[in-house]
Amino acid sequence: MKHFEYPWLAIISVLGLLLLFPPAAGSSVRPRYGGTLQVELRETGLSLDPREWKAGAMESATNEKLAALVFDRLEVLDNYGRFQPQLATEWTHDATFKRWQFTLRAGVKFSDGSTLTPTDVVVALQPLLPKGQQITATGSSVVIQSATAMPDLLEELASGRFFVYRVQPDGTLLGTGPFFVAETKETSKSVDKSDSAPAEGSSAALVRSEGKSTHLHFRANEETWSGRPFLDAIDVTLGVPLLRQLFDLQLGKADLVELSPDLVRRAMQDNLRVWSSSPVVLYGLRFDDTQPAVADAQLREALSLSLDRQTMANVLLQKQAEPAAALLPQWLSGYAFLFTMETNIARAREIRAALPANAGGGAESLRLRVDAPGDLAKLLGERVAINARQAAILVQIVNRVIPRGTATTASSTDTTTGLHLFAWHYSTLSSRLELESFIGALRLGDSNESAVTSTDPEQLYAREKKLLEERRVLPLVALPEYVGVGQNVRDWMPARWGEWHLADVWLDLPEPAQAQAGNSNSAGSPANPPATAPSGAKP
Amino acid sequence: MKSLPIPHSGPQSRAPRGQLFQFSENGNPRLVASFPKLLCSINPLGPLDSLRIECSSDEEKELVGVSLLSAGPYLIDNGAKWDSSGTYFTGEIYAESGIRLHIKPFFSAGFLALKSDEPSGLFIAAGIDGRARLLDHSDKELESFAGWGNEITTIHSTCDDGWNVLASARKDWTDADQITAYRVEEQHIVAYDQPVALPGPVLSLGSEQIPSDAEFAGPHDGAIAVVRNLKTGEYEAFRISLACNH
Repeated sequence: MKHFEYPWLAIISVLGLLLLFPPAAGSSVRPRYGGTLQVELRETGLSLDPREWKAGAMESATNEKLAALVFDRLEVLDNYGRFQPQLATEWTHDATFKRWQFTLRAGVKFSDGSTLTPTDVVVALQPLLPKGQQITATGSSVVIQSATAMPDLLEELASGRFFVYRVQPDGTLLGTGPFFVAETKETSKSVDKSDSAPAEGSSAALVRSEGKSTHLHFRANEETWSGRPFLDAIDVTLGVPLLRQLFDLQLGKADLVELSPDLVRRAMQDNLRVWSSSPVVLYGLRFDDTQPAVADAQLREALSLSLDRQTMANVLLQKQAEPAAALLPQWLSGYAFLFTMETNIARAREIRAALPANAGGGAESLRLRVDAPGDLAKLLGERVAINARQAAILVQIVNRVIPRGTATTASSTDTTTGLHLFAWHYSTLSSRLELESFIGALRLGDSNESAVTSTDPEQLYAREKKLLEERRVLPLVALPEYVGVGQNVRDWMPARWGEWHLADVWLDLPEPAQAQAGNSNSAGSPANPPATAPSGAKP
Repeated sequence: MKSLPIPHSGPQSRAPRGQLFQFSENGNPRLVASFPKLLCSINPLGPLDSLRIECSSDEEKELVGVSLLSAGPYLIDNGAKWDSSGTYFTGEIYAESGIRLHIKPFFSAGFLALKSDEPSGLFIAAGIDGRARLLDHSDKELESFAGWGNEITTIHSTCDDGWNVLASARKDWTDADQITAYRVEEQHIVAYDQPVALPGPVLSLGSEQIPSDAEFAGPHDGAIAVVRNLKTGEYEAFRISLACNH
């Protein structure tokens, strides 16, 4: 067959935006149904009950990720910053933002087949809402009201613990989400037993097993309103050490693992897929205001000037973290870039030298307790001590085991520790709520100072600036979450703030033998596509 | 604009598929929305507020469970049967006279003719096993290819008066996609020079000529690609055609 000309492929016109398609409408390689995603996590304990979660606690982030498999929210924020309906199909508010009405989606069912009602939403959300916010059911809607304006209510409800659930008589929670907990199993060295097997369609509220591996089997909810997830199931193994997780990812035993910053480079060198979020964890120092040893403002200034955050982020954390000068990250507040943290050892020495010899960190060491879990926190604590010593401030590290489920930022009654190294995991998309949660958890606010109720960035900035200038808390570094992703995992599109969106993930599994069979005459391959002319236009 | 809810029962697909086309019924136009297990009809005449949608899931009804294959010289006398999940086609290609082809399950397909005035003698399908296959009229597989995406269609070119294939690349939803044009030479598929880069994954690629019982004589020289722009998150439709390089 002879050709006269070579046609060129041309896009003649863009016809316009089509907004009629739902977000999950397919792809150039269409999603496949089936398979079990293997997930490994470091946390040994898990609570799927949002009422138990502590703001800022590291383990709450894991809880939230897994709870998102089982529960839905009223609405969510998509990866493009647009609010998308979930259990609420539409919402309105009054002119003062003090009253919001959410119309609930009709026909939503829990995983046991029962129907979601407005009362369910009220009972679920009331214990979770901040003080002063009241939720009531009205017809097919729910109304949230407050005496103060709630301009950021959508951000608040789209993140954190604001999931809708129903408590069953046995204490387990039911959800309407894309998966449900089908089984939990503990594995010890010689025993493999099912410790709890929730009834079909139910959700375990709490799983905790120190020193053992715990497996949770999430099964696809066929009847979920959002469309049956592509995966048949998700197996989550808790309590897996990070290095073991990396090995399992390399060996194909795991599809999704957590990576610590020190393992990220190694994973990349091994050509593993590594995903990172925006900075979601803040490490910082908190001064205990009740301790005379750290009460001196000049001592705090000297300690602040001694801290070398660049070295912490770039050397200690191998460039997998950012030096932090603000309490809230730039992606959340929008104004973090306005803060700077100076490192000036010479000035720190001068200030320290001007203080009495018996001031804190002089004749007697300042006690720094590492409240945050993990080796990384210990390393940061040691680096703080080294930096402080350069400014002639003696700091002694005190490690402490924090019970599971306790926010590592909790204010201490320790009578001898003046400094605390904490980790704070951002958990809400409302910068106002996050800042107030942070201040509340660390007890940084003055008793006569009211919380910021406005979402005005100037007011939030002023509030944060005051805290930083008082040096009651010193940010150190901000870390993203790192995730190792298996080669067969497709449509991995997590939110930059850390939500995994596993209902949209599918596995590109090897085809069954029957599908592979065929009488292909000239089989191409991704590396060897069909003959091209005149040059390689490869599909 | 008016939204008409589509009734459904049972498990919902997370990647729903379907097509819109028009019929005339007793001289009146009808819009038809075809889904794997549902066939809906809308009377587009009259005021917007009075628009109603009527749906049927009765499998005994014509076109329920079947999608029309609009790409290629054939437009209406053929259809492909959906699988039970509504995700792909079983491989049974129907014509008015009964089953015409029985091939491996596929996601998308199109008919081909070597010349516009020739009957369709070839068929190309993007199989669910990741391979695209070129078949002749007797189901014989002439050639197969790996590395193609799941979206393919056929398009007429005025340059050589022949039929060509457009195919997406084998990327998932997280990657920007591209569409490559292929021509048929001696029952072999050969790629043209340059693929067209798109701002996101191709969610749908089909003939510009929607199936209709009223009109077969369309030019068939355009295809419509629906793309999800990865930078904006919006859905965009592109008309794609082959321009002659004189």
